[in-house]
Amino acid sequence: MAPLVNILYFPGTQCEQETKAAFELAGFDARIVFVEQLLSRKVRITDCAVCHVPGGFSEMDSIDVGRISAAVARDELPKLKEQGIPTGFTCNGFQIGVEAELFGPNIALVRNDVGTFVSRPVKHKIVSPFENVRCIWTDGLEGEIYEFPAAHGSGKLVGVPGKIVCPNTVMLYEGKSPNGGEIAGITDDSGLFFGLMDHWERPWDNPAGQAILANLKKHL
Amino acid sequence: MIHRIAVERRGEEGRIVRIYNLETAGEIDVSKLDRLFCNPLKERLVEVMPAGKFTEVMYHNGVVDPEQEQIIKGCRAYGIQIEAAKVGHRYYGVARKQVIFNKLVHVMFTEEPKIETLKPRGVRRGMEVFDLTAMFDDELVQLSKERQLGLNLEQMCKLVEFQKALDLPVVTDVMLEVFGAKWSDHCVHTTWRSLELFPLLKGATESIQHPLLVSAFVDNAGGWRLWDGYVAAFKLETHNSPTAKEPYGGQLTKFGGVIRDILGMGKGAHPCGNLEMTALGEFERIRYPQLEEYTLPGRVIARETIRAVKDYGNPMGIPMLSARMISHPCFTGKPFALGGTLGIVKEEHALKGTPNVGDLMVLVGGRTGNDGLHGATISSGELHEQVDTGDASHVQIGNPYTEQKMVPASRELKEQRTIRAVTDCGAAGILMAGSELGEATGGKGGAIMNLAAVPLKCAGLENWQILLSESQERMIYAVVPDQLQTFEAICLKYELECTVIGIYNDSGEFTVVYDPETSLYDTHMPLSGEVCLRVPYEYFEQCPLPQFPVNIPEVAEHKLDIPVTLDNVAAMALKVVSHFDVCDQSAATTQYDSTVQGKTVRGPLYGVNYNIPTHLSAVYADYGTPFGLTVSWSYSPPQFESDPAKAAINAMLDAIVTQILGGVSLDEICLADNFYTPNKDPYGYYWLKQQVQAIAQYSQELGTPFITGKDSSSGSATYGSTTVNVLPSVAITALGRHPNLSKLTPHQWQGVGNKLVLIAWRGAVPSLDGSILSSSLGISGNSLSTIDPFSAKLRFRSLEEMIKTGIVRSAVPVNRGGLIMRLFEGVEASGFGVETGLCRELFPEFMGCGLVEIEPHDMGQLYEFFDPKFHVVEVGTITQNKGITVQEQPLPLALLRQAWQATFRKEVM
Repeated sequence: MAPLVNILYFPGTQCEQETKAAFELAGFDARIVFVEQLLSRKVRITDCAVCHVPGGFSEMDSIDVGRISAAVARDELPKLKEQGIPTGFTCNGFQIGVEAELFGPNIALVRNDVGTFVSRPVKHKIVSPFENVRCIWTDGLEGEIYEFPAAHGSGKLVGVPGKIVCPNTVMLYEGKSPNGGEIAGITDDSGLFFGLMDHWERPWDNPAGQAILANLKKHL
Repeated sequence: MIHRIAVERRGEEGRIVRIYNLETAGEIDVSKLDRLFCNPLKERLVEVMPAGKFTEVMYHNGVVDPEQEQIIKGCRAYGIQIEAAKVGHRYYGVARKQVIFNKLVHVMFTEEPKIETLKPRGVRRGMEVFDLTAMFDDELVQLSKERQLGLNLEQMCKLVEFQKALDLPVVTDVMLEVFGAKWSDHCVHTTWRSLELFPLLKGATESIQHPLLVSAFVDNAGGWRLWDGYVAAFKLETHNSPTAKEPYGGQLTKFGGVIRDILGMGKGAHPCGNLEMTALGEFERIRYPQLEEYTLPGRVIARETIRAVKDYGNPMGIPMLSARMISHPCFTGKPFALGGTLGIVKEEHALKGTPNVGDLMVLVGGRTGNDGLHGATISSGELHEQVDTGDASHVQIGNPYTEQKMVPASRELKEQRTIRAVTDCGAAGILMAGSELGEATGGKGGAIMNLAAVPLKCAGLENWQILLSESQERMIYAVVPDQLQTFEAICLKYELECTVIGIYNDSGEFTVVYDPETSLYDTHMPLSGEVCLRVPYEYFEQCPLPQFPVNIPEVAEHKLDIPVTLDNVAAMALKVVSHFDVCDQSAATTQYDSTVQGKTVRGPLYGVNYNIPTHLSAVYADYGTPFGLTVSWSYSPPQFESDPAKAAINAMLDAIVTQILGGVSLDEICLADNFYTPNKDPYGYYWLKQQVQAIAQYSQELGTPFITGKDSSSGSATYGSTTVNVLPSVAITALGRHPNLSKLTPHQWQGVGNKLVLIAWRGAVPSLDGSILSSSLGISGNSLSTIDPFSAKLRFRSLEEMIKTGIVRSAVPVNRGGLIMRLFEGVEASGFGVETGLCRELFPEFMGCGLVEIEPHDMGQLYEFFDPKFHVVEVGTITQNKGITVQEQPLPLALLRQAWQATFRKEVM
């Protein structure tokens, strides 16, 4: 049976359909789950093999990117970690994940250095985390260079001054960074979470995205 | 109780403080909200406000802050109940100069504000009434002027007739405003109807009887059949007056409106691509320096355009497929703000529905406010400084967040079969949407609307203001009564407000009441409360049309002769590449999300550095379909300056050939026309007629129907003693269906050693009239080259057949900037070089012709389609070394690149 993916939808999410199509192409069974369904206990966030928080402008980026969505789902998202559900966070989904401190308390995503939204193709290189963590999404793809687009205004990953931004880096920008930072994608200490600002699901059948999903499927 | 939480973002310390104003019923522990408003890595809570002069801006008490809903939700997540919220920004020092303030909705403080409440307050004024039968002609005219109705004496006299016929002692202000809007050029196209232009274009479309045509000129958007039951929706809209007045709001709501046109097409299409083109003055030539005190500088309009397109398009989740700015002095008074959206809908939902008797009129989306009042009448009139300063309310305020939620909701509403019909609220708001939808109900038409049910975001709105408000992000649905519960549940799921505001019947009348007591609607319910309007539907059709003079200009032929030789070819090339219309604008374009939805095949840019503008953009119809939509557009002011009628033909040929070069058959292309006509140019209407006649003829003979369009016939602006007329012009956009987008012909050069070949019309090299070079040099002739439709069709067919063979490795149209521009772009996009034996021929624009890349061994096959003597011009060979060599003389590529990149940065960024 195909592994089930919960694709979370917050009001303002806009990448749920292409994410669903990409997962389905890779052999997953994907469904869209409204956050309201989680809050009203109609659906359990952990009733799935994989969870994904896609991109968009959830809750109109009010106060700051991802802030309101992280607040609304503050009791739900940690359950994924508790239950060990592999979870992907893309673009605004990554901003929600970082705001919810699912990748630790000491990182943030700030405005791109150029000060504007940037939409263009970008190259990414898969790397091993510095620490002894194996990311279920990228483990075994180290050294691969993948091209897929960036489309964000606040995607520069920063940490506490004077410290390594994130030891769990799994993807670096190869060539020109869209946001001024070096880090494109990270995992958490468990290696189950995978966050990045750019869009492996664009186009929906992007071979890079499919390679990552095939890798994930292999590790499930 | 009011609480103010002040926060500074890192990097903005001492310059900007965000103040979250929260209203609660009682005391709260504000510290519980610290993490909501402050992420310590990004922000800092401000305990003591910085000293010094400041300017603080927030929404005033009559307007609900668009962020209120989210802030209430965020606070609730932390266990705090908030009743109202408003976000203020306090600026210090130089940041005070960056203050964005719209007096219509904002309030400004320079001292600590004393806020009593954040909830909307206001007193609703009653209706005014007028006895038109007791008024003299001059009083009627004065009344129309004072209320900005835009009605002339004849039209006002018609209202006097109506008052008598209805046996009314007085008419309400609602009735006056309704007819002012209904009979505006924007809504009933008085100019086009008076000049009898619609039958020309619609007649051509009807006569073609195209098998792919689903709908043309009858719905919010045109419909073009694809494959497997998919239909493409196609619409472009202009928003010129609001953009002249307030560019950010005007451009923002341009997209809001055209996207809603797609959501309102048939029973709701899915928007899948945006197009953006704005023409503004005056970067290339300064013709009206005296207007500086009246109009916004082009730089400001350009920057605000970028900000608006980004701020609306990106949150909507619709990929930008093409974006371009163009400059010409004639747009100094009023820009040409064109925006388009493509959509996809299944054929079963592609046709406009009609409400049944008893269907409910349901308003969905944003709340109604005081924004956009008189939008229909003002956009139909001449822009001048009185309007500019006296009536700011015709500019709407957009909120893409609400509209974005309508996209998935729209899909479910129709799939669950809850609706019979839908349309968007655009010009003249719920009046036009609500009344138009019911004009055929039960055969006679009929609707009752209750203004008291309309949810408001501003307090104190008068009845006519509720009816005519052009507040954004609103749709009206005709809901099947027994499906109302399902309809409401879907809206709730997407957090969209929906309210029953009336009912459709077969009374033959459009009726408007204000009755807070009524919440149940019945087909023949007795009218109660204030009866604001009750008129037969047929009255709306009885608009007395104004007459427009058609003066024939005397034209003495003048052909440009610009000697281009090897001595000056580098200088001329620099002139072309640095022209605003063709320069590098990627600094703006890359701010627009072009890949969202994951179906974009070719977006607005291409090339190794992703900075070369695309001619033909493409998106898949759906995930997994090999086929998709292709879109190209053409609009070049120098061409219209030279000869408005021939330029219209050339724009059409250019948009079409771009499709054919991509691999789309001539039989699979449809068109959109967006006219922009000056209303103070003595020859404007002559040229308009000439243009419509010309494109209708070519449409018919080529078999490419126009399926959607828009006529903006108010392209004149008067400031002081200066009147600026836009060029009589039309932007032509072509939509194609491509069977297999994996085989879309690339723009980018593919291989060293390949030949570049111009497939030209038979005859002499075109004149330089209407070219980018002539515009750069500030000169213009009127001897524009074009071709007859019969010959064009023959060449298009041959081109189409040749593309099918697969010998064409890449292709681009030879439009703006001519061959020299295409060669420069080819080099920049591919990293290869080119050697050409041409020189003078590099600068004219071969509108409707293509530059194709052919492998040398395929040249023989090319000659099977095109006679080498008459139609084939060998332009050059692609080389390994990056550069352009003209007759063995290298052009200064680095200098050209620098010039190409510098213009936009210097003028706009």
